[in-house]
Amino acid sequence: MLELKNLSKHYPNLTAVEDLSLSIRAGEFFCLLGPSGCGKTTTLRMIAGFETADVGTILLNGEDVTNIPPFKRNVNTVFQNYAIFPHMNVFDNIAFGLNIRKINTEEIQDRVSDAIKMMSLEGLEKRSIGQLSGGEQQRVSLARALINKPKILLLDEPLSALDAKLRNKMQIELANLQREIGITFIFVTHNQEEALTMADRIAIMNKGTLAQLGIPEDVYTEPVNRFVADFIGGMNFFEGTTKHVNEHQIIFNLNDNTQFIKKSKKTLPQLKRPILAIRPEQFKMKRVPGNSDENSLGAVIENEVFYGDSSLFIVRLESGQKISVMFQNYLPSGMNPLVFYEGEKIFLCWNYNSGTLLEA
Amino acid sequence: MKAFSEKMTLIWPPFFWLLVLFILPILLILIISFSISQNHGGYELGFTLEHYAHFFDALYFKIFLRSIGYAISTTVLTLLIAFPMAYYISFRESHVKYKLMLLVLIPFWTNFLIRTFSWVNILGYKGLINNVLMYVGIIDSPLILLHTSLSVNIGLVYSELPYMILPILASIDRLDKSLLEASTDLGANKWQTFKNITFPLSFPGVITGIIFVFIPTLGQFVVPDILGGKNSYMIGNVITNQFLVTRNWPFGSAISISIMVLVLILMIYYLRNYGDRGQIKDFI
Repeated sequence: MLELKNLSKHYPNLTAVEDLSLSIRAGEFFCLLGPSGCGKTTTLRMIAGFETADVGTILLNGEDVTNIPPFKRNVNTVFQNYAIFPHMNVFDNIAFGLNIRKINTEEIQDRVSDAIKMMSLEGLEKRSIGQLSGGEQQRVSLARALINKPKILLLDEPLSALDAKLRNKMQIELANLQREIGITFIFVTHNQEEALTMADRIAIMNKGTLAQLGIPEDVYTEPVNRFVADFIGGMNFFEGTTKHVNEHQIIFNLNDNTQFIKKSKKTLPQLKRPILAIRPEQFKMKRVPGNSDENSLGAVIENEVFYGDSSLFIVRLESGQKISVMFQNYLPSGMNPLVFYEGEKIFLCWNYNSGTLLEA
Repeated sequence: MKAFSEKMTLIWPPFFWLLVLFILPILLILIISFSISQNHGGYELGFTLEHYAHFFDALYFKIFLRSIGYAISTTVLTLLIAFPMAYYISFRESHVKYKLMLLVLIPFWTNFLIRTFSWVNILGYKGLINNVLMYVGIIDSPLILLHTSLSVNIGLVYSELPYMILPILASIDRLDKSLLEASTDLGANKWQTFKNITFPLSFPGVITGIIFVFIPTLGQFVVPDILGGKNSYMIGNVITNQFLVTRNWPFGSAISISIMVLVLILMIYYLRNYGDRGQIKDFI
């Protein structure tokens, strides 16, 4: 569908994208995720045609579009600030692409009113842009892009200007819309939650290169490097040395000679500077040492942060390292989880299988 | 009450400024325009419409129409030159852009009279243009360029050009460049983007430019004085003459007030007609 081959883009003092290769499938909701400056927006702009790649090719349905100007690409963009034309009303904004292509008035009428219905903008046709709310502007810019029936819709952080509640609502609406119309979406965001919620596949970028590509579950549960592990979700890192018991079990030695066990169904690699990454929700806090399949380290509770549905505990190990532990406050069984107090001595426990072994 | 007095404290300096330097002089002119002329340049307070009637004499009215003609030609020409220039400048990289903007402003560092006089050296009988053309062999005898309506037009366009460039530049510059990207993204080529997006959105700047150029040109007297001939006398020259040479202050004042009122009517008409086009509303 869309293929990026060895794409590079350099600016005078900056390498925006370096040797990026990606292949995006027809009809998928694809997310480019990464911190600001990782090259995700530049990549999107190269796909749209606003930037030209220094090196590499872009193939759209097998056709080389690397040097084709944006107005000849069958690709449309939803901009971060929506970029709605302020001197036109809602109808004229949505009809813009059709007017440019000199499609006859009746067809324009029909297609615009379809688009208006699809985006539930009925009754706003004659409104000027200044009279629209953020969410309405968002839908106008979506309608304006989708009415051209693009092969790919590019979305450049379109939800970042919305408030949290509206953003959550739009995430679900966007994902549903994409499944309904079946157009390939490429969505750029720095918000990992957004990517995890909506995407079929996520490409995580760092410093202009691809850090990991996969479905949301995989990038969350099996990060392939420290950057991804750290970027997506909360994460704790243990540093130290390892000793292999066998292919599937190691003994992890922390720098203060505390030891614990790490098991895995997959083969555990030999690493020069091994780290173990464990998510805050993978820990348990207990008043007695853990079970036979659990590691347990002595720790002291330093802080509790109450989030409502969950609480975050900062606990201090004997080595001085601080670990984040996340608890659900209300369990579906109706049973309240144990209550802990700041300053209390506890055992920090986790299953031998929990965590991912990575190179630092 | 406290809020009110605080507001007054803040407002009085500009209010005072406007009152003393703007409203009072205009009131004075208004009063003088109805006064009765005396011999030897004096005037006596009174009420007569004689000077206003005098303005509509064939002679003066013709000069007035000519001034309007010059104002229109200057406005059109500066617009035609300034728009492409402003467009070009605003799309340069910022360090080039500021250098180009500086070039637009540099002429202001030289006195306006001197700049206008230097056109005499360029357009004159033995001036630069004639010398070059004769040297190259395009013409045998010098052309008469100076003291014609052409030289007046050149002088007026030259002196007013920056006032057209700057507001247009400001409005194109302020234009959100992602709108232009959105336009090309939706299938518009460069020309269609210009026609549908860039030009309509730079309209407030164009209107400001037109006002900035049209009104001062209407009152010009320096350029026709230096570069013009007998037939390029403008209404500004008539007014200066009434004050400085003929010393008929009431007549000079009546012309000034008439023009002011006319310009005001023109402006209101203009803004009414173009006032509800998108962003222009904000401008008024």
